[in-house]
Amino acid sequence: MESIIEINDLEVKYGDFTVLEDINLNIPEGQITAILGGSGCGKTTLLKSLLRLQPIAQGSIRIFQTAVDSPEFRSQLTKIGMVFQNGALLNSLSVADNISIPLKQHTALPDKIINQIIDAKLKLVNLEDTGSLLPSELSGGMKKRAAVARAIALDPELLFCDEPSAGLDPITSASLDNLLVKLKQQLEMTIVIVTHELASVRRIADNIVFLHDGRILFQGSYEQIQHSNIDEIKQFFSSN
Amino acid sequence: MKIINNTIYLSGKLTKETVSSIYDRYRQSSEKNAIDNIDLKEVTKIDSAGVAFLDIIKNESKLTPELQNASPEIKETINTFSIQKAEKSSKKERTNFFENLGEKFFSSSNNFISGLYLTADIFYWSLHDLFTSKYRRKGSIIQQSVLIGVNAVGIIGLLSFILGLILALQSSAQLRQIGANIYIADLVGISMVREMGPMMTAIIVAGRSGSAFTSEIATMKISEELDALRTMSINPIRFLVVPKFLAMTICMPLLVTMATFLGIFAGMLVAVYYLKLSAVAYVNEMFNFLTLKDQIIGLSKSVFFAWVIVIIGIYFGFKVTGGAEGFGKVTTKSVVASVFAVIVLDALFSLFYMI
Repeated sequence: MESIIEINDLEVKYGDFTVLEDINLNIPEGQITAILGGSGCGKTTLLKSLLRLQPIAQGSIRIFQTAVDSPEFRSQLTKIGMVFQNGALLNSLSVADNISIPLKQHTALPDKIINQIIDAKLKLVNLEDTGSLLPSELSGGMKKRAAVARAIALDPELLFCDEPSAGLDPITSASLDNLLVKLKQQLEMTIVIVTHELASVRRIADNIVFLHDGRILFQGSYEQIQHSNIDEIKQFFSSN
Repeated sequence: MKIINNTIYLSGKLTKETVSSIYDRYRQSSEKNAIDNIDLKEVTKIDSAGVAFLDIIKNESKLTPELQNASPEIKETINTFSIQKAEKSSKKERTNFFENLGEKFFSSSNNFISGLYLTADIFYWSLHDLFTSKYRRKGSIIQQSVLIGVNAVGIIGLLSFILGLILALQSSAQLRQIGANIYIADLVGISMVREMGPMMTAIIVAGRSGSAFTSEIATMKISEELDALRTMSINPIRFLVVPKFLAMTICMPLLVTMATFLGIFAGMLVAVYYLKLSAVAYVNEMFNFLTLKDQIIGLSKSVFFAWVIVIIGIYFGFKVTGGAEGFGKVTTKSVVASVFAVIVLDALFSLFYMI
């Protein structure tokens, strides 16, 4: 299986503090990869580095065979969606307007089709009839789902999700997981999620990357990680 | 894309890259309203834009088009992204003129009543906490007095001086023609003491401090700080509003006194250098003309203006809804309402003292 993301010898620092070190990772195409690890281990930083939101100190990242620090990578961003931890919806725009941003910016689709897509994406995340609301009028879980709808507006080939099910009730969390699986199966989307939720990982992840203190300790399937003998992983699983 | 015998035949990719051109051809077709079947036999790939296009074909046709010959993968994607016609028709019912009028009336009366409650609350707690600082932050009245009063001295002083200058220059040209130069003192004095001093100061304070009150309270409400205060059993009115109310009540008459003095002083400069009157004659005439009642009217007005500005500023701060947009809206509304209220109140005072 081809790799959609190739990370070689990645090192990321905040000032003098090294957050990520010696990261070598290939993320396979068409799979859901979960990045697991305790708080502060560098999961979100890794995700941000992949999208050039965080400068890297050393190493290289290639997505779609394009280096993320090259000018050509900009054009690849339309094939990537990102769900931020707190939704990051634009507060002054309605939910529908938020979702329309990538559609209006990156396609020549007529407004009628754009509106239809918006309705469909809102239905997909169970947020029908919320298009006219402002993000501040939504609950935390609704904001997150609206953020998912915005991220998948362009049916991206690659979707990054930072803690998508954190703070959601089990039913909503499970339906969001189902949605991610659907997107993977039907649109052949590659999905990378950063999460703490083991239940969610068990349900959807094909591939797991375990980070500890800025280093990769493990890479493999859920069954493999469950039988891992690494102390940090055993501790993580036993306390969850 | 082709339409033959009420069947639309689609082929190739139906994705966001191709849908625009297919949709254009579809729109130009004369048979689009009579489509009975959608043949997807030759469709190789579909995404949400393609499904949206299929939904539009279904919605626009007078018949009930059926999807035909779709592969299982295409069907699955359609099932995921398709939305039914009935689900979209959740638009708000249109209301007529009288319903709108009634709605406006009830919402205005509700706003007015909540404004009255807030006013009562502010007055009650301000009087209640007048001589105790237990329920407010230490030094908060002084801090507010600096923000409302001391920091506004420069701008209010400068504008009042300019206002006095304009008033004197405009009237002196007329008075000179009829040889009534000395009356410049009466004119500038009465205008500044009774009208211009209090009103101009109130307008500047409404723009400066009124908007600051609204934005402070609105920010606190949006970031749930007011809720946090309530959960700690702290009354936001006592904790946040009472210091502002008391500081404003102290500062406003002082600012008005300063503004009036500077306006009169500017008038004196015009009288001395333009109309060649002596400063003593100007001051004597003014003291002979102005009465204690004029002073009381000016200062009492300023206190009422202060209260109106605080209440309106706080009211709009509490009324904020939404994010950054709502924040901007209430701040603008607050300033407009404060300035409007000050002018209307001034007109009512003028009417009252005339009677």
